[in-house]
Amino acid sequence: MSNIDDFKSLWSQQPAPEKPDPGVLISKAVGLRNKMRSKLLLANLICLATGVFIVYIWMNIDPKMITTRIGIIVTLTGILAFVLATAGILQPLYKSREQSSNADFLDQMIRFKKGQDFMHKIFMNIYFFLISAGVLLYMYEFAMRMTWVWATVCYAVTIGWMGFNWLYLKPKTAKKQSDKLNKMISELEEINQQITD
Amino acid sequence: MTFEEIYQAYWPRVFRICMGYVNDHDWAKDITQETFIKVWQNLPGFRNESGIGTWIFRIASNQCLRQIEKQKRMPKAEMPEHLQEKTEVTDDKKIGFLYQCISELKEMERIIISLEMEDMKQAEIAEIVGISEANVRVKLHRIKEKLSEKFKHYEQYR
Repeated sequence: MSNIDDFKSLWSQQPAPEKPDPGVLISKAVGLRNKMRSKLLLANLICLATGVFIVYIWMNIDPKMITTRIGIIVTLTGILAFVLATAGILQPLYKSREQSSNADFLDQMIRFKKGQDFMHKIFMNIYFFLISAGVLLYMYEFAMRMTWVWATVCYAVTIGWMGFNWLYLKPKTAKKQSDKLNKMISELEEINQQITD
Repeated sequence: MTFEEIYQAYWPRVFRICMGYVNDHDWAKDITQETFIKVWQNLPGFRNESGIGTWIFRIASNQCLRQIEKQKRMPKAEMPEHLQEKTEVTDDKKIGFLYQCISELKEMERIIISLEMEDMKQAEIAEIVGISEANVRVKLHRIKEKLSEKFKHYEQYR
C-alpha cells in the first residue's frame, strides 16, 4: 500500500471520541479566563497591601536610626519582587501568537522561553540582593546597642547564612530552572530547523 | 459561521490532526479541547483574512507544537505487539499503524502530512506552516516516501 488515497481513506476512519457539549467547553474557557483575571487581581492586591504595610511601618514604628526603616522597606520590596515574578504576571509581556503560522509561533515561543530564562535570573538577583541588603540595614541599629562581640557574632551568622544562600542555594535553583528552559529551547530550535531544512 | 457550527464541522478533523501528532487518544482529545477553547476566545477577532479552516488548523497545529511544554505526559503508544506475526491484518490495525508511523515522524513532518490527509491544499498548508508552496511539495514527497516504505515492510511481515 503506497497510494496516498489509501492512506487518506485509512486516516479518515480513525474514530473520533464523543464531542463534549459545546456549553461545557465554553464554561471551561470562561473558567480559565476568570482564573487568569483573579491571578492578576491577587497580584494587584498584594502590591497594594505591601504599600499599605510600608506606610503603616513608617508611621507607627519609631526606630532611632533611618537605616532600620530603610532595611524594612528594602526587605519588603524584595519579597514583593519575588511575589510578582512567581505570580506569572510577567507572562502577558510576551503575548502569544497562537493564530500565526507555525514558523512564527515557534520563533515567538523560542523568544518567550529565552526571555523567561533571562527574567528568572534578573528577578532572582534582585530578590536576593534586596533581602540581604534589607536585613543587614535593619540589623544595624540593634547591633549598635550590643557589645562588639555579640554584634560581630550576629553579623557573622547572618552573613554566613546569606553566603550559603548566594553561593549554594541560589545557583542550584537557578541551574535547575535554567536547565529545564534550555532543554525546551533547544528542542524548539530543533523543530524550527525542520522548517528550514 | 457560528462557534457551534465550527465546532460540529471541525471537531473530528482537529482530533485526527492531534492524534497524528501524539498518537494517544486522551492526549489528542485534550489538545482538541484546548484548540476549540482558543477558537472560541479568538473567534470575535477573526476577520476572514484566511479561510476558517486554515485559521483553525493553524491554532490546532500550534497547540500541538506547544505540547513540548508538557512532555512529562506518557510517551507515544508502543509498536503493535504482533507486528511480526502473520495474523490477518484488519483495517483497525492498519489505521493504528498509520497513526503510529505518522507520530514517529519529525514534528513538522507530522503536521504537514496530517494537513495533507485532511485534504488541505498545498497553498493552505504553506500558509499554516509558514513556508513556500514549493517547499511543502518537496517535504510532502519525502514524507510520503517514508510512509510507503514503512507500509511496505509492514505488509511484508504481516
